[in-house]
Amino acid sequence: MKTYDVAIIGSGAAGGMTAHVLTQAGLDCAMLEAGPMKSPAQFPVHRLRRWQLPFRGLRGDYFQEWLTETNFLANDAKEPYSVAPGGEPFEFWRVRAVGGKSLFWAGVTPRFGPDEFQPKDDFDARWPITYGDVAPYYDKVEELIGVSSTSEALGAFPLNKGLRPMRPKLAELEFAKVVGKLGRGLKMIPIPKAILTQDHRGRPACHHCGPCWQGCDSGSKFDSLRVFVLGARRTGKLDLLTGARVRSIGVKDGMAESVHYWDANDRTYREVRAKAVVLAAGCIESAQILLNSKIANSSGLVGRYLSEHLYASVGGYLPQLMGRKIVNEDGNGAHSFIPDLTANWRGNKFIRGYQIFPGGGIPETTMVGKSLPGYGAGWMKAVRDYYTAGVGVTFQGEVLPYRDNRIEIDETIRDEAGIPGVRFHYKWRENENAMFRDMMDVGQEMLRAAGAETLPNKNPKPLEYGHSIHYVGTARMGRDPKSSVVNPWNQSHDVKNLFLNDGAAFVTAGNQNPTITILALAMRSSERLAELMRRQSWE
Amino acid sequence: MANNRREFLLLWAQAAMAAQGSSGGKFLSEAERATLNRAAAILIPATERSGGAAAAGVDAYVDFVLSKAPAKLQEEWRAGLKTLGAAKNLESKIASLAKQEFAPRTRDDWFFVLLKGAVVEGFYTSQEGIEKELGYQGMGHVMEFPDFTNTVTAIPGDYKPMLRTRG
Repeated sequence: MKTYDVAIIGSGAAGGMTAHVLTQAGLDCAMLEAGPMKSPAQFPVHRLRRWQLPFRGLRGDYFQEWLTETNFLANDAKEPYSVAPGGEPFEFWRVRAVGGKSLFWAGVTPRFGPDEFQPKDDFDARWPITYGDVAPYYDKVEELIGVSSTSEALGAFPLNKGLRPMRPKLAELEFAKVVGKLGRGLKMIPIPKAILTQDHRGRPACHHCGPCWQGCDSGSKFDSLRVFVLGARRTGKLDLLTGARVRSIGVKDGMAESVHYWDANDRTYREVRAKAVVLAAGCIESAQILLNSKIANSSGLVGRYLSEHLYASVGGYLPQLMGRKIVNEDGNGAHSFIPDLTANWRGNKFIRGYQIFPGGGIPETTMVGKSLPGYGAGWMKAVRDYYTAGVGVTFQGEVLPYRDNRIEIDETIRDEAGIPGVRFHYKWRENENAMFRDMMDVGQEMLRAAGAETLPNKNPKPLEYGHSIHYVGTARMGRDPKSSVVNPWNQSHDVKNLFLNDGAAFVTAGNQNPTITILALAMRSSERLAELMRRQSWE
Repeated sequence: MANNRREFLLLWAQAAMAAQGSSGGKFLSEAERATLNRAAAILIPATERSGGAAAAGVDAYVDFVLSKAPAKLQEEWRAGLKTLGAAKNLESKIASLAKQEFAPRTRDDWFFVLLKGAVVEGFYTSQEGIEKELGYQGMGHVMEFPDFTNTVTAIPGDYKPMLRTRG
């Protein structure tokens, strides 16, 4: 049986970057992806319109029905998971296709700043690396994948190295007029996104068709499939194994030597042998594989410190946007945002920070008719007026890493291959509650300042646990093998030829979208892995 | 009473989404569908912009959701459509129910809230509602995103706040 140089588990952003770096370095790689290879022509975008969906996209998450109907999601009945007794539900999104969640992300790429790597408060641990260690990799990643962004550096918010920014949307300009007057030091700037504003490395500029989260048909948004996996295959150095659901990693004499997987194509267990293994299955499934393998866990911390982002939003209608001409204003989601500008406006009610996405546009549809009295032609005219005027302020905040927020193996639930599933223990605490209250205050203040008509928000709640899909933690990075799972190079303390290149290694969630940081760390650790293999040394 | 009825709005919103792929429908009888279509066409009539609820097939959407809904919500719809179907003058029945839309008290009042919500969902997510009535222009290719930086925005002269909510 062939022994590969490296087996890469997962084909999303982290796995794709790993394959890109390692195949460029001439290493022989196998990539295992639980889902099938799908063509961009199979993405829901332009293929499945709202009126073709039985529930019209009105139930579940905003893209759930599109991805369910096109079979891009893991079937929860066939691959079950559970929540600890007394716990609230946790949204656990698993895309089953080559490219993983990168196919359906929104493309937002703010870098972590110095304060995310080295928080100024005393809560829990700091990263064993600094912004300066990662900055060169951010530069390289942004050039590679193409990031459109702001040209202004703001406080602790680092500048992306990017293509020209997107033009602001009309509703965003209305918020931009007022945020500076709130006395909190807020500033709206163009949002950094891995969406091209000009042709870049063989991929075309964005054509502004709207729902990036239904999959980008032109490849203008970064996804791992087109930017990394296909290119890595063309080198002849990557064997792509699809339908390969990994159960465990085999370790002998303290070194990983094989990956055991269930082949969904013929429902048979197989194995791949390799000199090194990279886990990039998404932090929850990567931890699940480690726990099912019973390896790399001398610290007892695998699965712990699971984190993601607190999401909340408020909405209303701006009368100054009513009755305007209907134009194609889809763009690609938010074009502007308010980065976390740290201590100058947060006060002392909570630690860490949040990003704000204020915006609106002329959407595909509106449900405002339910909140407007009456019916008939006159009421329909009112619906049209409110239709162009809907705005919202969405918040994305840091959830602190708590030791007891974790996944563990639930032996009582098994998938169709007999692989034990995961059980979630997850809860937000006082800091998240205080942050949420502050978000609501700021949101109402912004809507009021912009002149929005709103409905009373009597019992505001954050969105469900896991809604952000920004899962990080579960195998945190550190120098001390007693208090961390991987070293500062994403390398397992216990099993030296095992790397965790996805969000598992994150020590803090930051308030920024994680993908650009996952990509930068995956590039950094993959270069290190290639160098170690060249030197034939694991130290 | 009010709290019990309010629960039906939640049940409607939560009607179970099938795990993977969906089949369903054929809950309502022909007579119930006919009543629903008559009522929907009063709520959302044909205009110079669109063919209204009748052209949008709102009944098929409502029927599908109900086929996935709990029995007590299905019974509420059966009873509500029966009452509407028996009305001598449907237009005046709806006009009187609509007066309590944001302060519903009776079972009929609450059914009107359910009905209007379902019709809004069915119509404004249909091709007729999205492309003709709202005139949505999106999902197309735009090489340059519009420049709004010099667009003047102003509150329309006849604007008055209309949003309402139930207690």
